[in-house]
Order: sequence, then structure tokens, then C-alpha cells
Amino acid sequence: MTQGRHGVWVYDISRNALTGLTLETPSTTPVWSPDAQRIAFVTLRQENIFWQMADGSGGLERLTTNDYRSSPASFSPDGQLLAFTQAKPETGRDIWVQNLADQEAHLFLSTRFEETAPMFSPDGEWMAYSSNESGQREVYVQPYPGPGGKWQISTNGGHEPVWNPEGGELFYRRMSAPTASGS
Amino acid sequence: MSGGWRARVEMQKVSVTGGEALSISTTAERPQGASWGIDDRIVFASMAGLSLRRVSADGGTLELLASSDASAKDSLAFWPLPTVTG
Repeated sequence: MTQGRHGVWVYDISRNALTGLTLETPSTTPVWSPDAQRIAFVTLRQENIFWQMADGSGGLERLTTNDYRSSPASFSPDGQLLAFTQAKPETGRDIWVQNLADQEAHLFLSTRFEETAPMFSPDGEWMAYSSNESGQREVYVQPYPGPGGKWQISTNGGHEPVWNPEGGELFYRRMSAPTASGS
Repeated sequence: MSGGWRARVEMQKVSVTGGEALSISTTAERPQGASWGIDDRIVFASMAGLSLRRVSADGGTLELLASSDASAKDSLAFWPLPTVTG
């Protein structure tokens, strides 16, 4: 979680213990690695992605060296790839994938619309994401690494997709009609 | 009467092969950062209550899993561990 001046903290529910991870480096948008050993995050100063052991051991390791703000979103199931968004002025947020072995980043999807929240499927063969290309945010799925077209998954608004760990289903959120409050 | 409108968010799930979306819950908890566990329950951060909450992927009542320190409530966001078992 992030707290205070955008530091990343780890909260162990079973022990009710809160441990600061990036107290010296303002950071946000943490993402757990599949083995739960590491946490990737974006640092506010460099606007690039770093990661660190979740137990705080070792130092920060830089994963990206991009010119525009990059935010981590999800790891592939084998932990070898990291999907992230990069916000370019010309195209808005686009989806990139970083190979952690050779540190090479590959563009997955770039349009004039906002593509966000790329999530690898549990088998690593699909990418779910959110885009506002229809005029409102909807959830889409495309084969990874492609080629292949996209399928629109949500039909009445949807963002921040999350895969069923068994695959085949997606969870997402959409804004609902507001209700009157107070009495 | 104080009046006003309360924003609500609907959480849904749907098969990627088609079919109707299932409404899991509609809440004013301002959910963020969800994680779908292997126990088929979904943990999400409540930005309204600044807490972690859990709900069955088939729908049902929201459970409180953990809440934050009141002193940090002006600037706190959770990202649950992936595939949590609860």
C-alpha cells in the first residue's frame, strides 16, 4: 500500500504489522511479483519503475529507463515480463512490456486513446486492459504477444480488470448511478 | 436532511468467452486495487473506509478484512497481494 508522502508499505494482516519499504524514495503504484518476493513501483522523482525485495532486504533496482512516466501494472505468470503503462504526450498512456531478463521494453499497444491497467492472464497468453476508445472506459482482451484482434469484454463501462486465477473470467468495476445520501 | 448524492461503484465479473456480466456488489466503498484469490474471493481496497474488504466472486456481503490506522487516513491506498487466500 502507499501512505503519507507516497511511500510503499507492506501490511501483514496476520501479524497486524506495517513495514515501510520505500521511506527514502517517494513511490506509488506497487505491484507484487507472482512469487510475492518482490514489489515493483514507480518512483515519483525518476518517474520510472524500480523494484525491491518485499522484506526490505537489498536495495532498489531500476527496471526501466524511459523518458516518460512509467507505471507498473502486472507481471507475467512466470515473473519474466512486466506490463506497464507509459504516458507519452502524443499518444497518452500506452501499454509496454519489459523483459526482465534482457531489460528490453517492447510496445504492446499504442493508440490516441488511453490504454491502462494491462493484466496478464494466468496462462500468460492474453492481456486484459482498459481503454476509453469508445468514449467511456471499457475492458478489452487481446492475445499476447499477438498478433490478433481485440475483444471488448465490458459493455456498459469497465476499468481495472482482474483475472480469475483459474482464467476465463474477468472482474472489473464500473460507475453506477449515484444514490441520494443523508437524511 | 443533509441531502447530496453518493457515488456508487458496481463490481462485476464476466466470462471472456461471452455471456451476461454478473453483478457482484454495488458499493459506495470506492473500491480500488482488487485481487482475486484462489479461494474465489475478491479482496479490494476501500478508499471510502480506508480498509481492506472481501467479497465472494459469486456476490454477497462485503466483509471487513483490515482497517487502517486513523492517523494515516488522509493519504492511504492499498494494493492487495495477488491471489490471496484470505
